[in-house]
Amino acid sequence: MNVFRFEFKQLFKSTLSWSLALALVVIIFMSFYPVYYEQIAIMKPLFDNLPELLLKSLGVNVDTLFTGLGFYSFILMYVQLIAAMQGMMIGLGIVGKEVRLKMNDFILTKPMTRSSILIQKSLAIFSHILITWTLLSILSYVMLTTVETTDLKFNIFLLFTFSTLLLQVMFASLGILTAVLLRKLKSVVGVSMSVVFTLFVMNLMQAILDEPWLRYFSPFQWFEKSYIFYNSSYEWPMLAMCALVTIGSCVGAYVVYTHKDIHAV
Amino acid sequence: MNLYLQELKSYLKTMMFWILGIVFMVGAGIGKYEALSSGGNMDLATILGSMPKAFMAIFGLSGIPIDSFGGFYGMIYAYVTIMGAVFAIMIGSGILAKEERDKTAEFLMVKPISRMKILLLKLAAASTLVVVFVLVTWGTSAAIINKVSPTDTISNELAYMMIAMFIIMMFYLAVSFFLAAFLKDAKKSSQLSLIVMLTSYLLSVIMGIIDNTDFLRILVPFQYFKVIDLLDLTLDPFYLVFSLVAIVVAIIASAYFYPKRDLMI
Repeated sequence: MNVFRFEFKQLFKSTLSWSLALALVVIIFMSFYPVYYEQIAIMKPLFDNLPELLLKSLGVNVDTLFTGLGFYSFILMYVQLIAAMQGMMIGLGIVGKEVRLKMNDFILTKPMTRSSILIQKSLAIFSHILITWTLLSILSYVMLTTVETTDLKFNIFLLFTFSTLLLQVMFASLGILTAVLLRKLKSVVGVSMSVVFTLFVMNLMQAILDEPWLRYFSPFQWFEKSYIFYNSSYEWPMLAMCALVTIGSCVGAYVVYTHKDIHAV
Repeated sequence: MNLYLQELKSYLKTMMFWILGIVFMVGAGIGKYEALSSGGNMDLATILGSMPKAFMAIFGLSGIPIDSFGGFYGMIYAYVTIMGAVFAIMIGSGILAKEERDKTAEFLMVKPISRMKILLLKLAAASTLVVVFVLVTWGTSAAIINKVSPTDTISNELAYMMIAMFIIMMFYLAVSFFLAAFLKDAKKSSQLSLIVMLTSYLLSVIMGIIDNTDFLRILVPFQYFKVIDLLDLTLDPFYLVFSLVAIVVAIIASAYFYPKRDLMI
């Protein structure tokens, strides 16, 4: 368990900064809710008169627009952007550390199997993700209960916040797989930033593109907020996609890492 | 000059991927215009245009009049600019710091060229890559616009948008380049660049939701040149001057600090 303990300790500072960043985003955005509500409240009568079908086709739910939880679902996209960045960066950073610092011979000559190294590192990564996510969820809940004027739909909040965890884990697995596949890892930030932002902008571009098949490749769309609001559940195909990518990356990383040639320097 | 050519060559592969990405984004985005304009969705655009700012922000359309072709292209411009900023930061924080990170600093520094010259040649190479990025976007956009909708001539608007994109990208390039020149630790400087990017992006989102947030504008390069102004063929003079000055200052500061600082070997 030495590797786990070492990496776990190493990650504390990073987890602290990521949690702080996420907390700042949640606090700042949520404190804008009253202003937002003031601006948008004038629209409410108009929406109450629109037929349900039209709203549905627009992907608008009256609940999503005029409640604190709805506002939270809107800012969730940005929370998830940062959370995904964290997942990818620590996945890539921890597993790719030896490649990056050219220290593979150091760790691989220890009396441990490769699989044990990878599993311990992954455990350290996932436990830190869990810590960050727990803090984030508690804070989000506190912020929501302070700004929400009507009853908070707790099960929907749970679905929202749990989707953040699923995305974090998915991106971390993707980071681990990438770290194992790359022969040399130059910049953790560079790789993470290009992957995460590409997927994020893909999600933004769906406003224009509106291609149903593209959603399968766009993780930020897997947990569609208005769908969760309407149905109080995730979309099964998208959840399956998320599970597939996560498990696929982990298994892939395991197989590759236990078999590949590793250059000492 | 060898260094300049060498840098361009080493980024060739990266550049190819980015060019593919740009062509895909611009192509797929503009290609959707026909479907949007013929499908009667333009009425929707007019409806949406009369909604409050906060509402539009939810659809990711803030501040962009999507009822004209120029406005529609403005959305694509906004997306490509986000990717452009990611690209500029990646290049800016990598090109100088990679020598120390990859332990090739000694190799380079014993060559008979001064550090100042190294810095300037690397800056020239990075700027060339940004220029290529902008020109590819420009060329692809012009070609596809011409094909999809020959009757809409927005070449002037396009020119203004591309100039704005170039300035924004140069801004991020200069800032991340300065951070890499100033700080010894390549990891720290790239993380700081990431923070700059994320903060300014999230602030631009806040500015999109909430009215009366113009005081934040100076911190948010994405908001220096608003699409509405660009469609009117104006570049906000204050922010034009400010961003150019900021770019020059960042470059001068890099040239001041880099030749003096200790190298991490």
